Amino acid sequence: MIATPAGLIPRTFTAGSWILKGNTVHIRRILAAALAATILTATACGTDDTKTTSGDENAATQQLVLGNNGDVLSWDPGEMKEGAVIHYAEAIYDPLLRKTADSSIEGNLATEYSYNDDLTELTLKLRDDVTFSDGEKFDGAAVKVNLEARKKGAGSASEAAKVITDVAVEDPTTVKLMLSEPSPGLLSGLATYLGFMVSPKTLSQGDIETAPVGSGPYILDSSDSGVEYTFTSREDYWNREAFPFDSVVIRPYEDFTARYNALSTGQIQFMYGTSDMVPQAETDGLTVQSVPGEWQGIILQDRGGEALKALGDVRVRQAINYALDREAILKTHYSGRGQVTTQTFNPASQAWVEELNKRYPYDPEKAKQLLADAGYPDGFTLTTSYSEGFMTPLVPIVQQYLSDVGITMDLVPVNGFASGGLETLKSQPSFMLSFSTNIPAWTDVLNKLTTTALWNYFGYTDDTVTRLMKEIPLTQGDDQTALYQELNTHLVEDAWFAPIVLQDNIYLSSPDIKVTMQQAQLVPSLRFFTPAK
Amino acid sequence: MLGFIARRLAMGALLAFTVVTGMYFFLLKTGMDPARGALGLYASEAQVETKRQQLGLDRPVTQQYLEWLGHALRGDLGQSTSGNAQVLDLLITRLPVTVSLALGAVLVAATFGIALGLLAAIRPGTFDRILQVVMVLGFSLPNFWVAILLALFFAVRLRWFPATGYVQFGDSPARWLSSIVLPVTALAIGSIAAIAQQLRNSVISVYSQDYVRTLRSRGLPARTILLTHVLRNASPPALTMLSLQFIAAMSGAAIVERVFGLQGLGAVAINASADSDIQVLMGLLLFTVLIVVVVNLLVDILYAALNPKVRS
Repeated sequence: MIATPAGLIPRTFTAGSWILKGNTVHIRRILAAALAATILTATACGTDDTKTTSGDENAATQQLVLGNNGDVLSWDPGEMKEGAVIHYAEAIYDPLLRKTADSSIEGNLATEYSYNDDLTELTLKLRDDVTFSDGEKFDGAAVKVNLEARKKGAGSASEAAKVITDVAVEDPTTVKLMLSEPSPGLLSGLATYLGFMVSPKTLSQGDIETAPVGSGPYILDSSDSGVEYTFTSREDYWNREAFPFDSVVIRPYEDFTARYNALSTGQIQFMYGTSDMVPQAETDGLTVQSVPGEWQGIILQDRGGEALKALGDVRVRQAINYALDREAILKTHYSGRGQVTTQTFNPASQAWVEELNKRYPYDPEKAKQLLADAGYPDGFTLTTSYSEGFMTPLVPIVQQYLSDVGITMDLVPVNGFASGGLETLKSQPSFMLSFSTNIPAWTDVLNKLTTTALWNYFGYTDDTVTRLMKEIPLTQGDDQTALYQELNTHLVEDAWFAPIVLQDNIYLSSPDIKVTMQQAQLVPSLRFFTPAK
Repeated sequence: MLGFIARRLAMGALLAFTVVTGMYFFLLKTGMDPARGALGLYASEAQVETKRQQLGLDRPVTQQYLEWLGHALRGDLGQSTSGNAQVLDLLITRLPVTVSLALGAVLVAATFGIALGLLAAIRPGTFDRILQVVMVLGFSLPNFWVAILLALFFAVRLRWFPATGYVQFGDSPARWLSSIVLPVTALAIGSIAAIAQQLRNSVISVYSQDYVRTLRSRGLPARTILLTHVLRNASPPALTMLSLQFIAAMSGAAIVERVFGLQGLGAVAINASADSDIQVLMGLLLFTVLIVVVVNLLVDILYAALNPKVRS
């Protein structure tokens, strides 16, 4: 009876109940003890020791706890890239100018700014009551060393700094920036990374990347790289009332789910979210706010027809625009959070023309007709690269719409921008991506329209665009607005792009803080955060 | 025994050298560009080229590798190309998080896996079949999905545990435990199933051996037979499975850490890959290989202690 196949052994033990009984009790004890230990751990840990930064605690200590999209890799403003990293910078550094909620420019460390007639000299009048947290005085000399340092960096500031040929310190409170050419993006740059002022002593010591010293509202009190950064307020800060919190804590979370869980359990008070989080956030009693953010669609970049002849014909590019049912895509794919668009500029920018959004209503028959007129009655194959991940769900939708008018998409998925991914993505005749929209609109011009722009791989331009890009920097005010709108209209008419939706940037916050939304910036500046009470 | 350990150590060193060397060339040949990764999309080609030269990436790959290896042998893993951190400091800082999760997961998996495996082996019929189904289910659940569910239920809804974050053991043992309970559970569930299944089959197999019948015929208590004789002979495969689960937990931690906002080696790996930070990736690889070698060595020693035949 004993020498039976292994599978029959348990039956043998059933018969020999003395073995079964004795050992079952023993094993049960082990299992029960393990379960009890786990439950005890859970209940013990879940009571007093699970300290989170609750809303009440924050209110009592006036502490602001922000969840951030990522870590700060360098404290040098010259090395920082656009994005939510601005919160780290704004805690430490003051910019020379600053952006209002609608992203217009106003004075900050520089109380006044003025151009000469041909817009090649910018004079800044500086505050005389500002010191850096290491005791160094803020003055014209500090501005000069900062701007010169910024030109050498590889961050967002370097593009705006390119036009600065010299910085003349006329007196301690007056500096004059000499420009190689008029630059519509300069003031915006001075209100962010280009304008963030670092203590000259820190710059000369060369430890700016790890030991930030600025003239800003807070000092870095403690940091646990990738985990948490704590900033405490400076008592002698010149603009204390604009930053009401005694301390600011920034916690980087790369994962949206983790960030949301942290927010909903009171570990943080603010986060940049996604549209699919909105229903749950509303149920959880969080504050949901939004501003127009990025546009998603297709860059039809081979407008000269170098790699794909069909795209060189404006009728083909227009046909692609007519083939897309933007309203349906907004409703189904984006849950209605955003607005349909045929434009690539920010709605609050000078370039925006509301009427242009009616230019390409969904009309597949017209699309087919345009393709036939262009010599493609049976359609053609459109090679399109896209970034896997956030664009993946949109791609098959676009593919279906284009297929309906006879255009076959030959898709080139790219997984990440490293390992040659960026080159693959941008070198195709067309590609799908999500693009920020900026104020000033000049930033978008530089990103996508110049012949050397990152997103204009084939270096295409035409007479109208070339002319307008020369004229816009030479003008200001209404004249400049008219030129921007002419440029935008031309781009839409000539179908340089096939935008689909301008999606909302979603911001979630706890009810114990109040956040004023800011246009055309990934996250609102720190001074737009206040306690709710 | 010493000779056995020496042989295993030599094999471990050879394994580490082979893996590290292969991966270095593989990473550089896949087109990873640490200079572009460090400077970002908007840096000009000129800036990227300058950075490339600063990082020494314009030199022959073999020269770069030999220099890296020379420094690594002296304990210098270099500096991150995308940040400012020394790679060794970065890894040592992040190691406790991942090791806490992996060791915790193995501990929990061993406790529950052994208990369930033994129960399934000695309780035939319905109970065993139910446990088998539960084990298969546990084994098939992706740990990131389990992690999300655990976070939603126990952290967000019940508030028993923090939803995110890690507390150092030295700061507060209770809060440390609280911070790792959910991620450890997420990592352990699959391992519990694997160990339980392995042990169940081994125990059933050993019970069918003649010597067990002999022991029983001599009147030895069932508990002694099970725990002293059967379990001892049935445990090596489960032990191997346990070591594999530790290694699996180390890699699984990459995703689970992300769900719980933990900054361990997994987060380092993901960020370094995104930034093409070869220095960090190589340091991480070396660390991981050494951990695998050490764990395998410990298992081999234990295996040899349980079964002297293995030593030869």
